Amino acid sequence: MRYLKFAPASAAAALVCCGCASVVEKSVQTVQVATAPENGAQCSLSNERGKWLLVSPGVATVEKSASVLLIDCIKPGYQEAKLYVEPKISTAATVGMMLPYVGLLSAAADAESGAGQKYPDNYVVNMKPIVAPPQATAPTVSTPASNQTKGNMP
Amino acid sequence: MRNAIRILSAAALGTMLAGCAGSVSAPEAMQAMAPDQKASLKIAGISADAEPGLAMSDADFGLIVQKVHGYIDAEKPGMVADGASGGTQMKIHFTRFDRGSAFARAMLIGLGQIRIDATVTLADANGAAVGQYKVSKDFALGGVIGATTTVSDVEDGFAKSVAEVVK
Repeated sequence: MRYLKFAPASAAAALVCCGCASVVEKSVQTVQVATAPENGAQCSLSNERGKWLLVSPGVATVEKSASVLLIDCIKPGYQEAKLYVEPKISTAATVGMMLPYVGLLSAAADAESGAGQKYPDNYVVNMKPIVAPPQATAPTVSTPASNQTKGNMP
Repeated sequence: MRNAIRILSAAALGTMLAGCAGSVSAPEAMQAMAPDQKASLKIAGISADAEPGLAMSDADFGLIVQKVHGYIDAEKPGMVADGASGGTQMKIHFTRFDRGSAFARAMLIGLGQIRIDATVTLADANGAAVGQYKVSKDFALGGVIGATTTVSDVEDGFAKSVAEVVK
């Protein structure tokens, strides 16, 4: 009987902890992208939940997801650079999973909201300059005099 | 004190078991390269594709290629020279890619396993295969470790295993 007085508190705690990362953390996060050796590149960030644009160095607010985040940067004079980023399970989600009784519910709730996953916050995308092909120099052809076509002047 | 020891033991065990997902699985040679071929190997590009019907996106291919590139660079710096003319092409053809289920793994060991199988072919500039290997990686631990291990952890182990091909 004396345990019953803890029941409401336990139930409340379970509800709060269910989806721990969803409660503690948001389902969006900011990602900062810079490019090297030069900034000023147009970068797009995309995962299964959407696409976001920025000019480097810049910050985008992306939706968290369990899918790969593709950072694709372009800048005149440079080759297109792509960086693939995998999400990691956040600390709050790991803690939530370990909670007795509600751990699995917590994991399911976090997976649904995306809050259980987190991409690293900062990236530097290395861009390679486009190497111009060597100028094709017109070959010097010395035509033998005997092969020269002689035109008849009118 | 006893609880602290239990928690530390559990954390240590967890760390050890989590390493299983990222460990190297020895490639199985279908057409082995000669040691001198390996020694002079220059990879001009790495690409990936999959059997029809496998649920893999371009981003999945890109991430795995990026990881393989990174592990080969770490082991043999300079071996991968993207776009080099006349170099060998590495082609990773996925035959199985099961992301598994974290929920099923958490419930019982052996359920909801993650499994990645692929054939890795090294082809010369003319497209002729100079080496072919089968690489497989799986993960089926249960409990908290099973629930917190993702397919990307197993991809790490898979990419290291692919890098073993040219080691």
